Amino acid sequence: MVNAYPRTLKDALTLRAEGRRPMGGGTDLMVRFRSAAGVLPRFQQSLVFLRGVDELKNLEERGDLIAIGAGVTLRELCESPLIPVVFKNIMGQMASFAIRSEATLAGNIGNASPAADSLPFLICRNASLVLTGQRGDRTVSVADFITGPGKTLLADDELIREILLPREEFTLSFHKKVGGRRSDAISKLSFLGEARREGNNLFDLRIAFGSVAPRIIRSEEGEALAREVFSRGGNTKDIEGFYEKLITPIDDQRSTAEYRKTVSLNLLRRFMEKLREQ
Amino acid sequence: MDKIEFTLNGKQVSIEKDGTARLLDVLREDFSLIGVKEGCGEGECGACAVLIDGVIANSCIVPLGNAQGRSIVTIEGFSGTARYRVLEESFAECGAVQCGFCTPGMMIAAESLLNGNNSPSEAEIREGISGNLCRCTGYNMIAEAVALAAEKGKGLW
Ligand SMILES: Cc1cc2nc3c(=O)[nH]c(=O)nc-3n(C[C@H](O)[C@H](O)[C@H](O)COP(=O)(O)OP(=O)(O)OC[C@H]3O[C@@H](n4cnc5c(N)ncnc54)[C@H](O)[C@@H]3O)c2cc1C
Ligand code: FES
Ligand code: FES
Repeated sequence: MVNAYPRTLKDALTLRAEGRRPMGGGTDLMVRFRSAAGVLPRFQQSLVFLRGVDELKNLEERGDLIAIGAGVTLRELCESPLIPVVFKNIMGQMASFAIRSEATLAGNIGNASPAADSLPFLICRNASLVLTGQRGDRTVSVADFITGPGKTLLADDELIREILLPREEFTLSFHKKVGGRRSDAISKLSFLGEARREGNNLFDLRIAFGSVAPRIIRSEEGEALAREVFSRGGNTKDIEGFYEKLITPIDDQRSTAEYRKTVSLNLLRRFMEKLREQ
Repeated sequence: MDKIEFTLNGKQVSIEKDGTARLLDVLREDFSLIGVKEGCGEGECGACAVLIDGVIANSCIVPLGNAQGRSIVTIEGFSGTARYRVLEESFAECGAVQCGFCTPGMMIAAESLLNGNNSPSEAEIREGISGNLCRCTGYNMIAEAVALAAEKGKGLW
């Protein structure tokens, strides 16, 4: 089979269904299948290059949602007035300008790395994906889509068509990425806490951890507990104790499990402090 | 074989080659543009940086197929411009070149930055070159050179 360069989504889907792997910006794929200088990367499959498909480049408001086409790059998102500042800051810490100009958000999701930096945000915001295949479209939440490291619900004939991000306002968004060298660092861990507090009323509270378990950690039970602890002015130790059980990091060349767990829980505490100070 | 057509340093070109080939290899081997360097080969050092549609990209991780229909400018193409001459002078004046291996990529990063922001702050300059590694200068001279170029090249960007 040969590589393909469709110009329309319809053609892209036909070519995909024939067994080709989607190629976005290639910033993950070209590193993963890299071989020696001057030698072709070792792809096991032919590719369908999505870059030429204009239908995937949409970026617009749609009712209560922001729709982000699969062909939109991180750079374009960082420059768009539609994208929440906290998400721009998160993307601004992903790789460097030279990568963000080619890398797509769909590729970051499709890669399904537990360290993918967009995921804690997308999962915190209840974002979903429109998957499109020969039998039509279906919508799946980002949280459900990613089933494990490198594993997703994407069927062999499907493409991510767009990412749907609900438009919501928070009074506090606290994000921290802990990595190595600033712009090329893959996360050792990341934390995102968001809340909407007005006076003493806490209307919403969300917590996500990245890179510290096979999947992004987000727990309704934990968030309910955190709201409850906040209302009664209780000790954050209870919440830390709850999340400590969910945080199951690995030791790898980037960091140790102990370090990841400790720093994650420190960030959670810091978020709860900030919420009280608000 | 895939047939890929794009603009290279202002000229329309066409090449028959597998679209998964690294743009870096195509530029160096098929078009003899050896100002594009290979450092890490994994997107982390910026030695292989080129401009794609005016914006910096690392050619070691750009598949040739993604160049289709776009405009690629390498340091060779950029060196014919007035902006390049200002950067060259500023790099020389500030002692921003030692072994020179990172320099083509640094100049591309500087061009991409100044193209979007013609009077960057020091922090913005450092951010703009943060994807480019230099093992010799310690970056201060390079950051100064970019600031000087922004100053000297007023009106060019
Ligand atoms: C030096 C360097 C630094 C990096 N730093 C970071 C970082 O800080 N944080 C971070 O999260 N990531 C980082 N990355 C990883 C990478 O840049 C991102 O994951 C990027 O968003 C991938 O997008 P892409 O378009 O290049 O994906 P590609 O490589 O094109 O594709 C990635 C995966 O998604 C699939 N895919 C692509 N498009 C679709 C589609 N429309 N439908 C279905 N599947 C699709 C592909 O088949 C593949 O499996 C870094 C990479 C490099 C090389
Ligand atoms: S060689 Fe391309 S970024 Fe290092
Ligand atoms: S001058 Fe030697 S690597 Fe920068």
